[in-house]
Amino acid sequence: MSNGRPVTAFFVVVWCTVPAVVLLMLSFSAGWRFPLVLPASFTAGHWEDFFTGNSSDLQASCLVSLFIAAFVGGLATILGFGCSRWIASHRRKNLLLFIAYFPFVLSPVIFAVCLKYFFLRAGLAGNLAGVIFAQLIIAFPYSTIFLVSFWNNTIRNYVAVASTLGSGPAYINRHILLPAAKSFLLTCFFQCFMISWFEYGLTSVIGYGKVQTLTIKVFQFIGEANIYYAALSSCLLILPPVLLLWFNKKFVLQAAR
Amino acid sequence: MCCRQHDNMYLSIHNISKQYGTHQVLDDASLEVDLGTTISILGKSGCGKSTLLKIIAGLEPATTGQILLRGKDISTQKPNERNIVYLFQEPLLFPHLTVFENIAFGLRIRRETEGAVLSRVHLLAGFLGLEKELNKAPHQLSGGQRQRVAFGRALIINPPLLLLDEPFSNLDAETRISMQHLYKKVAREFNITTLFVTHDLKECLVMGDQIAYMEFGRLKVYASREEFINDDKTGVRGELNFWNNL
Amino acid sequence: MKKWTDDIVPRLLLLCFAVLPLVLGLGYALLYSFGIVGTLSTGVTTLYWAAAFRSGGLISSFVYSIYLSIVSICLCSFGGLWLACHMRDRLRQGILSYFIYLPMAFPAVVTAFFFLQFLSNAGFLSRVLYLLGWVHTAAAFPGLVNDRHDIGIIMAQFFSTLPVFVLLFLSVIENENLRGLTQIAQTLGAGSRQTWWRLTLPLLMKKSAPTLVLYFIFKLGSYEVPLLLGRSSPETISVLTVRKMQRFNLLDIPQGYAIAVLYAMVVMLLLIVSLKPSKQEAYV
Repeated sequence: MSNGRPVTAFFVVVWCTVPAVVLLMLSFSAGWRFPLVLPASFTAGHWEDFFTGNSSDLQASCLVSLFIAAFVGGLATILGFGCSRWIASHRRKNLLLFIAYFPFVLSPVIFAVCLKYFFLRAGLAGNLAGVIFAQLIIAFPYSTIFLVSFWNNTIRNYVAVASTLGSGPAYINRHILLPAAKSFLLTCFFQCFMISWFEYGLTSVIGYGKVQTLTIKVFQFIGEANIYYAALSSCLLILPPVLLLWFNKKFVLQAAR
Repeated sequence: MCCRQHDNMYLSIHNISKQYGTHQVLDDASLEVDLGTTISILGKSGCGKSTLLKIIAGLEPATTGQILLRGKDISTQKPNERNIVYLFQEPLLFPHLTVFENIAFGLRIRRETEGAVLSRVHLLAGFLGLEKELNKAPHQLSGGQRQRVAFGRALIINPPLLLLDEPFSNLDAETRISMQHLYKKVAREFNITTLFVTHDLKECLVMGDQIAYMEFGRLKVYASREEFINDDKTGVRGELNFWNNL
Repeated sequence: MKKWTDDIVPRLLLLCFAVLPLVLGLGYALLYSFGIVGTLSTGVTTLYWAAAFRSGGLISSFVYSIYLSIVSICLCSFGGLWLACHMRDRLRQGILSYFIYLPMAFPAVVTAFFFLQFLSNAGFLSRVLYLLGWVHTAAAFPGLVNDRHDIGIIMAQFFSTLPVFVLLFLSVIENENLRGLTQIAQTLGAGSRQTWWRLTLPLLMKKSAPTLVLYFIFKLGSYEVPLLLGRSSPETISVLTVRKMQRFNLLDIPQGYAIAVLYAMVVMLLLIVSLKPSKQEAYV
């Protein structure tokens, strides 16, 4: 009864995969004029341009995006781990969580236009440091909220047992907490990585169009009606999360229970 | 002999077997229960007791065998048509409903009038000592209270048969004893017919008017308490020897 | 013994990355919208707020955004519930357990781009229908992007959010032991319809409510999808705010800030509603 009919499952798979297939097809296409369903010809040229570095700085954008996402993901996870521990044992935990939730749920682009003045004054508009800082304003609260659930009673009991057995804080951190938190931290890193990797609104406002991440490039290509390059950059954008999804669903689905 | 009894018996279970693949969970289990009696089934975990109850409730199909309730074959009926209530180890209260609505659930299903629901829930809640908890959510109750709500939810529809699957096993010792007493009182008051499954020897003796023992899917019903005590595999003699030799 | 300095780092972090940006950003927006700071500052005035309400499209933008969010959330709840309840086992293992989550790998901008290519007059769907002989020119295909029924936006939101809801409902089903509760309901006499209406649906909705509100907030502020697939009037809150801020007409900027402040207040209220009753984190 809870298994559904195979034909329904088939339609669900089609609905979920058609976009990826169409985008991949477009990235290999040339001359996709109406009313052709398939392009007049297929070409690997756009991808070759990307790999050889001939294509409107797409390779550079990809590296910039990767760097920003890795940096934001790593820093947000490390900072969030410490902060979540403090919040979890705080008597006003709910209030602090509420404060953390707020920047995370606000529309990033609206938040960005409100903060733009301060970024300009601090010399953080239109440069990499500014974009990283701005993205941390979303990613850090997220990682804190996510990691708060790690600090449950079981973990507290482990720490208590270890202390009564004579372990100091450094030993507990290294031999008890880090091994127990490993999968949490990895999941959190990938989640924050993706928040940054997917980010458009905040980056476009704070980056002033000068920090050209992949999402910015997609918009730029759409504006230029260059659908093949837009599709190519789209494929590059969905590639890391698709790989993660395939190798370890947990990192993408994050089941923050 | 068994055939003569069938017609008069309230519940008759004939040669029930259950197989999961090659694993035989129940092996030709037969049982007869009279109206208003409680039969305790003792057995270690994994011996097939819960499966037997689930088959009687209609929650799982038997591989072979027949179940007669008041002389009528109910083997192919759906669980919601049998009117037999199964109580799990966990009280499994509906978390989205208040205590009142949990107890009233069966009446709502039967579309009873608001007045009838109100009076019957209050009556039963009074009997079970739950009057003050009616507006609470399940998670606000203690373990014993939750189990009492589960009882109330079952009793309110006057089930012809109650199946209890180790309902007190998650309670502390004191609450457990008070629940056993409460159950005996309820069983007398409502003249309930019950199959009570447990792995606790003492509880088995306290609760059952009649006793059965289950091992590796095979069920043995004892004609008397003495026969049960004298059977070595039930463990009663070992227990008695332990206390006598202290 | 715990020292007070132990708390300094987390306090500073929270201040620096959460509290300060909020206070500064919203404080500045509030002051700007009342004419207290900014290029046009002329002293306290409610002129910009009045203008935003009267002619700035504020109300229609809020109504429009709320409408779109509600429609998306309802469709995703319906679809998610249906899939989680009817295809539970398939969604847990096998090929479907991978493909159903594929849309979560799509950034909003890519989703928007795809639906632009898929639903526009000369898009993929239009070409397929042409091939089948149902339409004869690109113009004959009803425009499903930037359209007055918002089909493009709604489909894009449905595509990207449905997997999240499937995941949500599956985890509620697991955490609440729905299988056991269903068996209890059945032995108490509930048929399959009654079990659905009296147990499954209310239980899942109640347990998911905080997360549904959270996703309502996300949808309310969504930017890329309505920017690419939405119509020019009315606009969603994010699109309108950003457009006002980027105008050359300086009088529009304080109005943009007024809209941002009002939006933040609405979000705060919704967040209180979403987090308060459960006293626990939503499934984010």
